[in-house]
Amino acid sequence: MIKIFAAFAILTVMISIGSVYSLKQATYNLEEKKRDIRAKILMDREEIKVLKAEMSYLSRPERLERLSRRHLVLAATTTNQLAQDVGSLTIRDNIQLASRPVDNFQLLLPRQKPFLKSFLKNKKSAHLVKFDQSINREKEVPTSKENFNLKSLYVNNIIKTGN
Amino acid sequence: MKPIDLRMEGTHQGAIEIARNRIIFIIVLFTIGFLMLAVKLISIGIFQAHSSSYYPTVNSNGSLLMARADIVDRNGVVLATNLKAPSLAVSKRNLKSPPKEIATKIAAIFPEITYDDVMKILRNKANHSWIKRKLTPKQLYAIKQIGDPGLEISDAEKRIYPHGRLLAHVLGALNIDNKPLSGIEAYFDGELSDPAKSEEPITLSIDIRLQHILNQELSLYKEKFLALGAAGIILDVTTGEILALSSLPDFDPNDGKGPLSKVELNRILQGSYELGSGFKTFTIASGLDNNVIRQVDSYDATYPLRVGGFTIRDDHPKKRWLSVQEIFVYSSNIGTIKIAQDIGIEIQKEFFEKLGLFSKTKIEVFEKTSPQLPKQWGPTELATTAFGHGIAVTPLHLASGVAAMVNGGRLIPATLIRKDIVPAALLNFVSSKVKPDNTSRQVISSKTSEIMRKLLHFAVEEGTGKKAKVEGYEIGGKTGTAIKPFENKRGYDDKAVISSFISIFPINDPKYLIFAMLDEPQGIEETFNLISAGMTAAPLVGNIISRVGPLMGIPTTHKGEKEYDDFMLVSGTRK
Repeated sequence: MIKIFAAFAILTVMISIGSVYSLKQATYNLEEKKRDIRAKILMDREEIKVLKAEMSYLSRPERLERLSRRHLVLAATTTNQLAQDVGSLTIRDNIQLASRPVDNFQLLLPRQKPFLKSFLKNKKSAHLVKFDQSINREKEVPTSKENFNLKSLYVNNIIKTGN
Repeated sequence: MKPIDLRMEGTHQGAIEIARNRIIFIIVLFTIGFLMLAVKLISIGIFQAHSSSYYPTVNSNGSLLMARADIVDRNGVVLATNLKAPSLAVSKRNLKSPPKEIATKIAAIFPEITYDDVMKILRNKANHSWIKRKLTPKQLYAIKQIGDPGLEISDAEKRIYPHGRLLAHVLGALNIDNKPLSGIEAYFDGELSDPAKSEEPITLSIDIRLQHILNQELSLYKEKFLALGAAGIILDVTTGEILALSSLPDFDPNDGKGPLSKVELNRILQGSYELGSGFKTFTIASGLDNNVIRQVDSYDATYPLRVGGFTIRDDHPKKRWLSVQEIFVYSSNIGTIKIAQDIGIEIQKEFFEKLGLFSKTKIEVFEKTSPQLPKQWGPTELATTAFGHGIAVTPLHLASGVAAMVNGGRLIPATLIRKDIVPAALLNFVSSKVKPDNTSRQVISSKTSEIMRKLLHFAVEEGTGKKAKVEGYEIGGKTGTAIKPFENKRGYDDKAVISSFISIFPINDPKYLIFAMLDEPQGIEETFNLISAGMTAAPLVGNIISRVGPLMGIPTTHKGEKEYDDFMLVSGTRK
């Protein structure tokens, strides 16, 4: 009995010693790995620093200006290309604006054609407008539309062939 | 079955007993030894804490790079950073190739080192000597290609300024031993070289795009008018942040030498000048705010005025009575002196002091000068300071003061550090909601500030600053042409002037203040040989505004707004 117990105790001690040793070794390996990774991170960080400096060097405003002048057909925005708001772009009154709630970038909503509006201003009854519009269409559409199409075709072709 | 018990007797028995005892003794010894090993193993494994001090660390501060933090602009563009720049030394004992061969190869790599220089180093007695510090990656590669064990490369670092000269005066520079010489580098040396903060860059208020525009226009006009120097500043009047600051001539911070001569000093912060008519803004604001004058009051500017032995004339004489508005718009010296005389010495002095004109600015650099004030305040000093002579301040003093005149009356100390740290992507939405900070002080009432805005606007629309007009923008501004005092003797040199223009836009809701000055511009044919600020500095500022406005998305306004319809220039009547 005492022999079995002694054998068991010795075996347990041996196993625990072995497992503690292997645990220790595994930790050491991990530690080494961690050190390697940390060194690599530092090297990468250094490279990022170099790249950032290079990015900053290559995007010097003076250089970008030079390159854009050489390679792009873009110019700096001038003051007459700016407007106070979208509303000031049109001479129409009673305009409607829409925008997404996030960015407040406003857009003009399409409205009735201006000639209708001026007509509405002068004539107050609505049914007259409809009547008058139909007459206009009958008169104008067949001739003017054809001409217009012909002209735009001609213009388009010239642009395409570069004549 | 019973086990057989065999026993020996006699001399044989004694020998076996001894052998047995010895074996037991050895077994016990070995057992004790193994037990000790086991105990030690368990104690190492369980009780001893795992310490990282067993393993070599990369560097004491955890970085391969010497920890000096970066400096970035308000949008995160790198302005100053540390990069590896190894140094090359030679150890003669380890040298394998003949010295002549090495010298030829090294001289071919570095353009600034000759063959003779290298031979001199190789011939001297010391075993280890430096050849070149701070190599570029290309040079390093070339040295490694030689592959001689005698050429030793040691790690070192270099401060790199990717934008070169563009921000030299703001950033300052480091010398070859990485010690700061001037600018932000020197002022924030503690923070920048703190190892714990090496990953946190210092964010300046500078916008590199605006800096480029300012710098480009200044150098263009400096060339055009053959000026000794030029300087400019773009200031956010609502926050006091400096968005661009430039002074020409400048220096290359990458050289590691810093500003060398007096010419290369920072004119905005170090140069104190008698800035001329820009001061009329203060005199008139002081009069209006202290209820000494009203807009409609008028003064006789018909004849030149004699004050303290000097005869003071108007540069743009109207030779008649002028209203307060006209005095400002036509920049009348005579009228301004008369206003100052009504204000009195005490109030005038107190007002200047309130504007911070009597002490150094609080800007975050060490190289800044104190204003040069009159030694005593008599009637002469009162008269000359009223139109910006006899008192020399730095352009930043003037800019901060004028900003307070237009932003509702708050004097905000100018700063080079960004105030609202928000992600760049959100900048457009947040910047309009920046709260006014607590460091500001109310110096004039918001009502006076509104009148000053109108006066400044009118000075551009109708007065001396017409050339600064930009289509689509309503701007305000004041010209300043000041004659320079002689360097060695008393008196003033009529031919040497400092032409400056200080402008605010958009004037109905001021956002940016732009100041530009030219030091001793020379007359050219295009300006009919005139060197007054209206001809030189005003168009310069106009150009800057026409480029800055669209870039910063400042909306244009329509001409002929109703706001100024009731604001007519009329000839004054007697008070």
